[in-house]
Amino acid sequence: MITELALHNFKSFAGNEHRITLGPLTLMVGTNASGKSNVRDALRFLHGVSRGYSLAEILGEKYGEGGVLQWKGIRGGVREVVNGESGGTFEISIATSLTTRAKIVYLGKELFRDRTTSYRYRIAVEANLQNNAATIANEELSEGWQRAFSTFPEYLEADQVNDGRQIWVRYRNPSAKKYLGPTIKLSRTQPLVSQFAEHPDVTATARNASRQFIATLESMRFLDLDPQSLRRPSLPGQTVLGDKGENLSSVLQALCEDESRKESLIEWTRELTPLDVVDLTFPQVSLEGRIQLVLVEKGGRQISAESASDGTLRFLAFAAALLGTKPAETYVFEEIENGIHPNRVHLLLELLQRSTDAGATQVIATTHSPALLNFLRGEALANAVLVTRSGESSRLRRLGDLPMSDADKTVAGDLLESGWFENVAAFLNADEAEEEEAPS
Amino acid sequence: MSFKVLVIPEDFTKDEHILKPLVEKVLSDAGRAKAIVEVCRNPNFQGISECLKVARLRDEVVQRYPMVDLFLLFVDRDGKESRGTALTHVADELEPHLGGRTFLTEMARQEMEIFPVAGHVLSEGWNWNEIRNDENVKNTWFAELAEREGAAHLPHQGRKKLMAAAMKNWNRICQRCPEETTQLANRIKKLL
Repeated sequence: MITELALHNFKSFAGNEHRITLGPLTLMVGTNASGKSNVRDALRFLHGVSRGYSLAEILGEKYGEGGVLQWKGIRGGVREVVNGESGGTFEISIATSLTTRAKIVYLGKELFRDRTTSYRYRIAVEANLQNNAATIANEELSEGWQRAFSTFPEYLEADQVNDGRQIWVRYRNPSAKKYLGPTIKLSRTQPLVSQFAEHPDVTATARNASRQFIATLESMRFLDLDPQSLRRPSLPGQTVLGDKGENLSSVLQALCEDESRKESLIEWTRELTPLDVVDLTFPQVSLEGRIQLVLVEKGGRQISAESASDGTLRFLAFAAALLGTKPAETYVFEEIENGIHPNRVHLLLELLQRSTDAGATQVIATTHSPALLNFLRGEALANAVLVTRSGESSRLRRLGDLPMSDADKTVAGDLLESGWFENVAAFLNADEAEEEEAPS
Repeated sequence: MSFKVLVIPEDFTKDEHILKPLVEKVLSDAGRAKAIVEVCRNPNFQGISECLKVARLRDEVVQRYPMVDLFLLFVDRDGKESRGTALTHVADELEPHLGGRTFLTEMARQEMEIFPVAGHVLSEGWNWNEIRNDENVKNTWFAELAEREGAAHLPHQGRKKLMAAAMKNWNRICQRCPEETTQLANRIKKLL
């Protein structure tokens, strides 16, 4: 789970560190172009790091065998990743936690114990607009309170000077006191954490910490659902939902093999729509064996994915992602309420909270829906993030940090709709700017 | 003209699946089988303190729904002895604003989830008096019932399915929860 994210000079987040804590369910609200999608881009950047890509691939594109596009880069690429027109350095920091279950044998009995390890990771990248190249400026990883590796000068010798292609790193040796482990020179064009994860010559401690940290990021999924992709027939056995919603029919078919999950899916559909759905079937619709979802109503009427509404398909895709047999650890959804009637968005929220309350899944989503916010309560409301634009920079604030009365908290959506959040954020930004300017 | 009833819960998102079938049957027993029963979605008070505010009930419910014949504020008792007095106070305060319509109050003893539990056969070892007086029916007895009946994975923890099954044993619900069923039907019959 991602517990914290901080941005420095990244895209619309200028200058000082912009930090937010993230909960099991974190909704991000804010006007158009306030910077919500740039938070998503920061998470995608980190996801690219976890996939072992080079900086050029993370920010640009990554093609696999046969010229198949594997990774679409960060919007704007190297030229727009740093705040400011002349390039420079941006930094992303993240805190994550990983819970693993260990089996122990005590008095002949097998017992299971959950162990949670926290990680802190910083990566600073220099973008050179002269040659459109990005290189590592600094990077470090800590596991618990122990530093796994760091490039910061305080951990290096005075004569260990970086050149344009390589960077010095000191990494942990568990037998050494403090952090004084060995040093190594690594390439500046690929995040060091992914180099450490595969490097045969570094200590197992540094390598394993890197691998474990990567494991907390690599199960992120970024769903930006598109109705045309949701409708397209798919081949049985394709059980991973594509980022645009590809393979919906075959993912649902796999899910429906479990009668209990099928019943649940049908009930969710009945709640969401006025359709009296009693069954979901998956007939073959092409010679190569592709199948397509069909909703069957009580009277026998059949509605194929081709003619089902966008909102119904989007909801089914969320359900497929969250109720499926292999949900991701972290989902990042864009404008989650799209296509869903305002008086049904509480169902969407219930579906999300059911998954996040179970503890195995984290959801981060952008929304413009006042109705959705009106149903948000307690910790989920406090964890929601307001993204605003103040002068040249985006700003992040937890709604829990805003001066909301108990009555306000029951109508947070109305406050969003009326622009109250922007008013209050402007006042708070002004106060903070005065405090920063005041002589200490 | 049909008889129109608006049930006002603390939070419609879960309560409506229990309250709508329950109130429809109570009205049927009161001689109003064809009543149109709707559960109030706007405002969604989301908490007892908000839905006991007379000004909100007057402005956002009584005035916003001029077509309604009977308003029924139906909340959890939550083990609070003073809840009944508070509800009577609310109804009294609203009386001058009703224009001849009726505003009744009722409370589930102790939480709304008591009704689906009441309609089912109790598991071995369950004691009805203990269940009826438990302030936390939702998270204990109801949750256990949902698991037992294989409904916990459904939307709203299976409230809709479990209440539909419970309603098939209406006499059992009346026997176990007489205040909110038989006695409520009698109150309505006398008033109308």
